[in-house]
Amino acid sequence: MIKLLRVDHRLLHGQVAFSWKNAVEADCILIACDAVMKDDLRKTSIKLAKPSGVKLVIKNMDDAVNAINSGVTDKYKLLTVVESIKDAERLCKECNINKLNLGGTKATAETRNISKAVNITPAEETILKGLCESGVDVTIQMVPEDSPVNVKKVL
Amino acid sequence: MIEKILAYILARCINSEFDQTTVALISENLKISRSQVSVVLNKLVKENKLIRIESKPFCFISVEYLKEKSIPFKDSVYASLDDLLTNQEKKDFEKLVGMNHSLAQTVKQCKATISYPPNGLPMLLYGPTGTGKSLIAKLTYEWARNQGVISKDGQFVQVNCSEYANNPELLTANLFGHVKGAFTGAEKDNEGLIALADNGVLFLDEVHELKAECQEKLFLFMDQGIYHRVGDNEKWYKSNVRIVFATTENPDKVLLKTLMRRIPMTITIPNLEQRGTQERIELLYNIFSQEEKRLDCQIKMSSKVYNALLQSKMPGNIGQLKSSVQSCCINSLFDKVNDELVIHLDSLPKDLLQQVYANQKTVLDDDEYIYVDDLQGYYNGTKEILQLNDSLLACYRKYKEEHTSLSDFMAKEKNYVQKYFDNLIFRKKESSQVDYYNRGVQHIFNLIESRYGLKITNNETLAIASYLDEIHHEYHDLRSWFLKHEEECDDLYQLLQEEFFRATNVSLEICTYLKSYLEMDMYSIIICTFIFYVYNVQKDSRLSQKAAVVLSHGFSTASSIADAANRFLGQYIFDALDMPLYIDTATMIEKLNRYLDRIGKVKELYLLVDMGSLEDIYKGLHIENANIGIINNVSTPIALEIGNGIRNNVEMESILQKTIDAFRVNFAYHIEKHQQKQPVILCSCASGLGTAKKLKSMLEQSFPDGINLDVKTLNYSELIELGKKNNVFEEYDVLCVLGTLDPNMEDIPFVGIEDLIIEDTFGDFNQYFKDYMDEEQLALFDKNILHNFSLSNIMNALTILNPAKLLEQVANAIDVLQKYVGVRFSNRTCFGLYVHICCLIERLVVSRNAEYDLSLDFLNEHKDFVDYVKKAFKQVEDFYGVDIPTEEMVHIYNYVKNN
Repeated sequence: MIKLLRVDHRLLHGQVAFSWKNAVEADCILIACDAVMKDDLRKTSIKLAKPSGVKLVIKNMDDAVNAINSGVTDKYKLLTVVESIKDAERLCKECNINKLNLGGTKATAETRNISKAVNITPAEETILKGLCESGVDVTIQMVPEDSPVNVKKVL
Repeated sequence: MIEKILAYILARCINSEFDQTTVALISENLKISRSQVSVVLNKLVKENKLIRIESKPFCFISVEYLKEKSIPFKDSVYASLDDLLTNQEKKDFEKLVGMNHSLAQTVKQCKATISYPPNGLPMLLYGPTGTGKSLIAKLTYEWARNQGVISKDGQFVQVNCSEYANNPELLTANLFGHVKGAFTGAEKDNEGLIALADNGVLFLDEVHELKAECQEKLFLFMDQGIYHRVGDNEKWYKSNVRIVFATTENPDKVLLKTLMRRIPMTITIPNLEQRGTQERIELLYNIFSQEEKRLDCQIKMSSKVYNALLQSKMPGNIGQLKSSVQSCCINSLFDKVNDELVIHLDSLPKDLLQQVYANQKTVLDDDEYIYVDDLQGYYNGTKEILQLNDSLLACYRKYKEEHTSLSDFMAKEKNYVQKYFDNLIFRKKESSQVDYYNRGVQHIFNLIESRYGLKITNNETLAIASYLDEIHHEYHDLRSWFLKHEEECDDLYQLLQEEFFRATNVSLEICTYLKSYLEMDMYSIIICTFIFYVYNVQKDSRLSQKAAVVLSHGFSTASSIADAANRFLGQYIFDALDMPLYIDTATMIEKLNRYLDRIGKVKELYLLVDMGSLEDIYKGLHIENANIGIINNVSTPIALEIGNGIRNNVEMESILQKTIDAFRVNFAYHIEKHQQKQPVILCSCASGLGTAKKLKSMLEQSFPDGINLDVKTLNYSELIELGKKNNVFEEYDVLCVLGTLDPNMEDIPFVGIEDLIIEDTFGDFNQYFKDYMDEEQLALFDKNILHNFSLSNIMNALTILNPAKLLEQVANAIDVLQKYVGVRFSNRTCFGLYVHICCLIERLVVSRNAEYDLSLDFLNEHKDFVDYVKKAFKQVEDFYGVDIPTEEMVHIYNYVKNN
């Protein structure tokens, strides 16, 4: 079962690896990302960030959706990380996930800063609004120690 | 500013950097705006302080400089620098054809003798008639006057002693002067030529006709500068005269010892033959253009006439050349059409015409015509053969400095030689000399052809013959050129010898024949020229790395097989080593080794032997870094089969296998693999070639200075599919495969990317590189890898800050932190911290106003650690204007704790 679905443009790194794994007591980390599958160097850095005692699975979006829906992942306590809000939307919709954690997104020229580490484009804002309307609980929380902020407050 | 600009231009002019005086460069160097510079320059030109040269771009010459160098000028604007400089009247020796070439030494001697302090020394010019002794004497005088060696009022007085041969008394009287009534007809005092030449030069031509009676008086004068006039033995006269003697006869035979003793300097003037072709053309041009001026028309001559004037023996030297030209002009004068005078063979003077007919079977005077003006192009500037040599060396220098590819270099050199030869054929001199060379060259190339299968056309033999003729004619110049560049030429030769042994072998053989046939010294530059030329003809560089030698017992068995095979193949492939019948293996190997030393670098050596144990032979060979293929029972068909394979660049093993299969006889072959392959690291990633290339560039950037390990990439699927059959394993020594997935290859180790990054001094990886890096370099390599890998991550994560700079600062801070904490962080921890903190810094910069919770518990518990981080990151914080919040310290602490 999915313990946490998280958006983090850096996917897996120290913060996620150590604190979230412990906070949600995950035993498997699923990285769902098309780009990483094509880049062994990024894959390597994700592997490097993997904390001990968890399984790490990296899949592209299609495979990740299939795996989750097929039930093979049910036996794991999954920490799922995607790269973008768009990817998160797809997982939420296709895999019936109703809770989403926003960890960090990259700041670019088109983005607006809505928290310490989260920056969203107008398109992403629309997606987030849609998710909220469809009943997904979207919160901003970089690390478990932070208090969660409901995204509705900053949209 | 005006002074500054003038001074700048003067300084440039003095250094002869005339092209440095453009507006742009003046503006740049003096930091004055261009428009200002232009205004000032134009003003200075108007004020006659500068001369403008309207080249592109304009440049400016200082008038002060021109005056100082006494270069005359009329206008303030010239179209080109050449116009300004060539507009000059030629002065003294500048008028002399060959002053920089065949007469350079002569001119130097004349200058030195006439200006020898305090009053110059007497000199004797010795040379056959018509070589220009009088002219040189006159020019020496002019030079001395121009240089202020003798005063402006000093005169040049010329006396031809042969005119007085029958009347020595008259000569004495004319030279020394006489008083009234000294002899019959002396109606008044005459001060004499010596007095006339006071402070000047007295030129005594044909001095061997000077009779003894006259000489005595002259000796006294030469020794003390005093003399009596004829008929007055009382009064001493004084005159300060520099004496130049000249003779056409051998001075040691015809001049009195007492006279010779008084002439310290004998200067020999070369005859026309010795002056070389190009100078002869220049002389022809000068003489003809004088006639053009005189006749006020254009002159053209048939190429036969040109050749006759150029080639014929002229015992009368330049004098004869001049009179021949003049008689040509006179004889053709009535054929003048429309201001154009055409000279045909029949206008040549009889003696020349006879030479022409004697040398040629049929003479048709119907080919092209040469205009006098065109002659200029044939001699202008440096002599062609020297130009060729200069180009060859310049190209070699460029190759050494810029490390261009060897084949490019050869192609360029080839081109120079080819062009030069083409030019020679185009100019096609016809002379008995060239004919003589041509016959020799043909003979030599017949030998070479049977030996090396090298084909050469008649035109090419003619070109080579002309080249030899040039060498012969320009021998003086060539020799002095060579002595100046000897070392460089030898270097070039060395290089060619190492890289192209076939071409070198052929050229050496050609040169050896030429040397014995023509008795010419073959300078290394000549050998190099032939190498370029032969390389040209052979047109096959693929062979250069392969050597094949037939080794057989018997007087000429091996040579016969090799010759036959080369001839059939139409190419030089085989060398031969003939072995006496009862030779022991050691001597044979010694012979073979001597051959190997000579051929230089090869990658493949084919040994075709008649009998004997194969092992015995290859074991003692001095050959490194080459595969040796050895086969026994050699015969002509076998040599042909193998030669054909070599020619078609077939791989060694299959050549030998095929040969054995084709002949089904009982013989054996053996390949001894000696060739060292270049070590490489092979990157191959399952996710595609893109990642592999990234990995490659990361590795390359991480090698410490001076490490030139090559990194290659290969598609993962190809690696799996073809395994070691991939070309890269054929060509290189693959140290290890680096990637994400182990291809599981036998005896090629695999290193995963994460191992490479995580492991300090990378454990396994270490052993593959220990031959190429010492420990210090390995440690640096390790550090660089970590750094570059982190950087590639950070690049993806950062938007605003410069990743490379930020990483460097953070990495430094972490180095400091390690010292404070007293713990060495693992690579994994470093990597995590680098990326984390770099991202943190950018996050802090982006959202400056965000609020952070204070983790007071942590602060109290880990006061020391917080202090360490604060101190270590002080510079980074200051630089980016951020504060690392305490709640972030917790994460950093966790990284370190998990180290």
